[in-house]
Amino acid sequence: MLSALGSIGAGFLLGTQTETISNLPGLLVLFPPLMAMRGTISGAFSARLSTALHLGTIKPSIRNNTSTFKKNFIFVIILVAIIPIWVGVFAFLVSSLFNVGGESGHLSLLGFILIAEFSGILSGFLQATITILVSILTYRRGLDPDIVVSPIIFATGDFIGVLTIVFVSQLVILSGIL
Amino acid sequence: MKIRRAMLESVPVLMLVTCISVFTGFILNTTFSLGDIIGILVMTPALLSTGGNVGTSYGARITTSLHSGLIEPRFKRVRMIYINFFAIYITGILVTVLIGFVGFFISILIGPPTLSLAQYIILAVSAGAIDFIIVLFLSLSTAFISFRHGLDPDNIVAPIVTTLADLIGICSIYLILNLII
Repeated sequence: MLSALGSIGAGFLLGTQTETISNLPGLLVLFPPLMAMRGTISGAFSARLSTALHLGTIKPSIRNNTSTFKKNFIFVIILVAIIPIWVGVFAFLVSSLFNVGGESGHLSLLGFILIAEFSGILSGFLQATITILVSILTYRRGLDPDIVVSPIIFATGDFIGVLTIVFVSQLVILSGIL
Repeated sequence: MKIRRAMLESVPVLMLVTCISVFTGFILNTTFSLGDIIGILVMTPALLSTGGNVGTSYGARITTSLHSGLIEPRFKRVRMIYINFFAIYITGILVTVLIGFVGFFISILIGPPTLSLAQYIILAVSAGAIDFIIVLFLSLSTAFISFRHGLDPDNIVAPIVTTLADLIGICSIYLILNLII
């Protein structure tokens, strides 16, 4: 139920962006894949973090941590940097195939890739940071990160996802690239 | 290298999940193009994520029962299977009522109201009613299949179930919109 709150916040944010969505036809196509990507990567990451904390292969501190910690974090960053490129491309292909936007057309390939890539990296980085902070904090208090981190990730996930896509889209419009 | 292997394991699931989701996005886009029903946009993330929660909670319970030997991975009329089915279904429907309420009030905040409170609730509940039945069956089948093949529930099954739940969810919303409005 709590995670529904986060999604409702995401929905509220989405509802305020009808103008942006109308200006960038096809933008909506990007939302579900970027959310799914972020959710999948977050889930795997938080599970590995919590296991590593329990096993002691990771220290419950933000700085000067083990190489396992660094490798896991780098791995997340690599994934959220690469996958969105494919998302952008595929979203473009599907939009073209189904003639999204009709006569006025839809976002260009560059547009899809730009927005997907930057919001993908941004949301992935934010979510990873939150996951790390919450995992370390709960572990330090003697709680089980698995139990606390999951609901928080679910609740904030959708909201962070929508926020980053909206933010990046606004930047893209303002900068006049599209 | 352990990390490289872990990375390689995630990639297939990620590719599958993102590909399916692009189609979900396409239907979302089409739904929005039907008309400026802002409230639908507001309710969509909540409805989709509730569908995902319904699927994964049921999936988790079935998987636990499978692992503890309480049930077999076959479609038999077993109490565990159908009682949980209905319990989670009802809980999900209750959440959609809430979503309907919140959707209505948020849409008033954002702009001029287009639909009535009753219409919001009916939309949310109807979409959920169709969505959850399909998602629950899917979740049950997925739990059986993944149990038989020894697939990882957290990293493979959960993302697939939530992604399919998103797709079914947006289709339900689209369907209900076309039927009711």
